Amino acid sequence: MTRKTPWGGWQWLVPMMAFLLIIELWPFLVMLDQSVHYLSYTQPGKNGQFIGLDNYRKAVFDDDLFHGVSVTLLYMLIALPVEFVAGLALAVLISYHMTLKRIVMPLLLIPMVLAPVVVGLVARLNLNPDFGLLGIMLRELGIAPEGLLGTPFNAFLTIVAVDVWQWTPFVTMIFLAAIIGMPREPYEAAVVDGASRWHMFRRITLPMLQPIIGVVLLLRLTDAFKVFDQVFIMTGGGPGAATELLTIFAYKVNFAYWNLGYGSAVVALLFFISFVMTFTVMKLVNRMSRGKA
Amino acid sequence: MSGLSHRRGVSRLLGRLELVVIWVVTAVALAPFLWLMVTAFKHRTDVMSPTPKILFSPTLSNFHEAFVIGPFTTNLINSLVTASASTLLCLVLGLPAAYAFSRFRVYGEKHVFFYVLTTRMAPGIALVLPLYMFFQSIGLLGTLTAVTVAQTTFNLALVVYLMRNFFNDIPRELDEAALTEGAGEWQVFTRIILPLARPGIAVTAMISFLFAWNEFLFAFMLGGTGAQTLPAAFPGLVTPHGTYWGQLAAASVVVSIPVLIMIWFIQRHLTRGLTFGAVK
Amino acid sequence: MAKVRLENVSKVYGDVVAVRDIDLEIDHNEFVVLVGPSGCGKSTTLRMIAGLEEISGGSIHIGDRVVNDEPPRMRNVAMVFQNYALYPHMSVRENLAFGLTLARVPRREIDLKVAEAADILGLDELLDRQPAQLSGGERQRVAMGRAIVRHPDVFLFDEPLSNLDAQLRTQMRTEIKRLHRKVKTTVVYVTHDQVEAMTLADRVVIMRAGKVEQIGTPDNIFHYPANAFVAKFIGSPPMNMFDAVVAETTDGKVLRVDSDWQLPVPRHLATRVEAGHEVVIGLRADDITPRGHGMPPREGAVFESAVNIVEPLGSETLLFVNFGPSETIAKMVRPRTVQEGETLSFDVNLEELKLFDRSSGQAIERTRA
Ligand SMILES: Nc1ncnc2c1ncn2[C@@H]1O[C@H](COP(=O)(O)OP(=O)(O)OP(=O)(O)O)[C@@H](O)[C@H]1O
Ligand SMILES: [Mg+2]
Repeated sequence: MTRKTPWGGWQWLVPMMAFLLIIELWPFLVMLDQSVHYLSYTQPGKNGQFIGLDNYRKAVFDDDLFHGVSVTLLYMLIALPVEFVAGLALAVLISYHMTLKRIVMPLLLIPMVLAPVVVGLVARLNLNPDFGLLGIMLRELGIAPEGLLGTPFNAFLTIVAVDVWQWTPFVTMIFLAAIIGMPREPYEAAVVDGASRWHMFRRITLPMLQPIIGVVLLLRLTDAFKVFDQVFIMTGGGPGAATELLTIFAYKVNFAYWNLGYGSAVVALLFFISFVMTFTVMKLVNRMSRGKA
Repeated sequence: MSGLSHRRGVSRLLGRLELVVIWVVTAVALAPFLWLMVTAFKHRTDVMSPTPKILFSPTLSNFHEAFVIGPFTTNLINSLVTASASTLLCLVLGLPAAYAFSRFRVYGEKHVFFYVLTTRMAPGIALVLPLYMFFQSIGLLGTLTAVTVAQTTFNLALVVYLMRNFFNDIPRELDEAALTEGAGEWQVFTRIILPLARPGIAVTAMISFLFAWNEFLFAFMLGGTGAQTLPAAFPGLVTPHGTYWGQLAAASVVVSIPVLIMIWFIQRHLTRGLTFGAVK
Repeated sequence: MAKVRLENVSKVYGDVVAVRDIDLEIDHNEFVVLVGPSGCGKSTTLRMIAGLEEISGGSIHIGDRVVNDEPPRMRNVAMVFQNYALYPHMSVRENLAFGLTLARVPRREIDLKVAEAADILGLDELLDRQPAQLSGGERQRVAMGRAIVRHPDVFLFDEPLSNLDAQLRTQMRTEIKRLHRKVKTTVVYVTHDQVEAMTLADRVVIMRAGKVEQIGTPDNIFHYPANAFVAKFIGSPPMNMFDAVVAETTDGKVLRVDSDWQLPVPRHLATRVEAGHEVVIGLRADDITPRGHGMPPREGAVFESAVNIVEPLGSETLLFVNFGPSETIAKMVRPRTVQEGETLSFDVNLEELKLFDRSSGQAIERTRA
């Protein structure tokens, strides 16, 4: 329950809104302005020239950008389902062994709270074919002797695997919290009725998890879309452009090629995509959980 | 929950199997990180050994090289300063807003919320490019201020959402009691709500600190060499001549220690913290 | 110490009308109790007086000020909440002092006032405890202490006793009454417990569905309920009610419950009803007594019935007996063992018989003797 207050409470928002307007909105608008002007180090003579939507037109037909979109989509399409299934399975398993929870959960959470650069480094070190723990093992088995980050296909699978390694415990953590918070009665009734565990999972746990699934999906989707740091450290987008996610592509256009005019347009598009995606998923999630309620 | 887990017979064996699976998964989750930690204490030759060495004579030489001879101590201080300052700034800006969202019918609440949320969902690069140009234009590129401010942008949403959530747990009657006793809204906020929300504020501050502490892209792009944080210094050790594994591992240990300590403290609240309060 | 006046006050939440055009005048130092079933708008009314809820229409006066747009802190009222709302992070002493520190009262004066309040409520021993270390009754007293230290113009209580167990509730009830005698202040007290209302109030306001049904002294409300709702709500056990039709017979007007069960229309109502009038008869259990228990009524009727259920309450016993086509509750004051199934004759005290118009529910007013 909320109460009424003069100015609709806005006096409380002034510091935050001022900050957001100056630090976020204003620079963003400047960037949008930049995106309709020419700015690059290749032709300094043209810098500052108004070119309308040329940069956006260019972006739409840019094969490299399209490649970035594909890589990002594929990344999410593989990583998220794996994380969901594995995370849920692990959560259910741990819920059968609650005594373990207090020891195992804090350990499982470690990968998720590590700095992304550390995660990238962990991967590089362990996958090194000459002296990495996993790298050597794989080499001995005859798999990827050039190192997992050496070929485009392997490198892509590896960054996905690292995401799974880092974020599956996150999914587990949330589902486990939800399972623990569930009322006992339905389970007790099911036990009395002689239901199997699989049956309880299908008929009770899964349906009751439905609203949470939407939340996890939303969080994982936005986070996976944002991934940059660890991939940057691991592969820098390579080899070739095999791991060049949309974010890495946008980074390169701006800060490797210093194509700031075009880069602004790319970033604006990137922002737009993430905005639309979040908004749509949020709507879906809301509908999902309202349908439940 | 544990009570309904096992029926007899088959489940004995099954239960054992499940334990094995859980422990294996935990080992897989931890081993690579532990390997990095261990590496930090190895001599260069042991690091590069083609047969993984479990037993080795430990050394602090990597730490010495990185933090005493190398510049990492400066980076470490930069990290501390920016992460603390941005956390503080987040709280100063975010707490009053969170209070308003928790207690008042704020005009346009949904829109403001969504706007605040965009800072969380947008990829870092979409925030960093505008900020890069902004700080360049006002001559603050490569300063601690730039990094602090930038890190505030992405933590602000977290603070507002999370603190609103914590404030919502404080019964409205307490406000109302104070209001009838002669308190104004500001006094309710400072004398009732803030003291009662102290645990929540601590959790929020820690999580916000963690994110800023771990953050790479903003610090890397906006800090330049003048205000380089510890994570932002990592790429500098991956050179064409080779990677300084020992020093990087040592730096990783230092970056990770506060993280590990803090999650130990806020374990109970981590679910809430990392889901923006959506799951408790 | 102030008068409180509500004029045409109403409160609307979306399309729910929580309070509808309430008029109420509360005198200096008067103890007024708002009572009614759950959801009838008592809390809303109280919260509007406190300023915690905006009013949707009408106006509220405290003293000689219109306080419609004043925030709570300007109104000089004190409120005691159902769950006490003690500040968990402050000691009892700090809880009591909080309002005074807000008002920037000097330290020494605060100490004096806190000591005084603690003395009145017997809180001296508890001053340095935290709320979590108090029992329910102690918390309740602290909440009241917090209200009295400030010497507010008006005390507002929202079901302050409903979280206590039955015994403590009775005890605290008396304590509140004693407190009111000591600390003379205007009090508005909300409860859904009619016993609390009757025992505490100078005047009772009975509400239903956002409207005031009757305002009056406890006596007045008990003996002269304005309508069937009030009659049924006040008194325990609830008043017995039977549908009847007035009919003219050779013996005069009667109240016909069905073809072979009727009561004479009592004298005080004889001129108020005509044959054919559809009414509801109201009779309290106190006015249906077994023969030989107490004085036979001056104007009475007698019937016989088997006793279906016996409910001994100690000082009195309730008997469930047949009354024509329906069942009624009779009361036996002087203890005597009655067997279930036993047949007794009962006196009906017609002098206390109430009649209500069946369609409107309004009481049919008696003629003055
Ligand atoms: N914030 C609100 N929004 C919508 N309706 C409300 C709100 N607060 C109260 N109501 C409605 O107003 C009516 C009166 O509520 P109120 O709390 O005053 O009842 P009450 O008499 O105090 O009941 P109780 O004895 O249960 O406390 C109820 O029907 C309630 O549902
Ligand atoms: Mg109420």
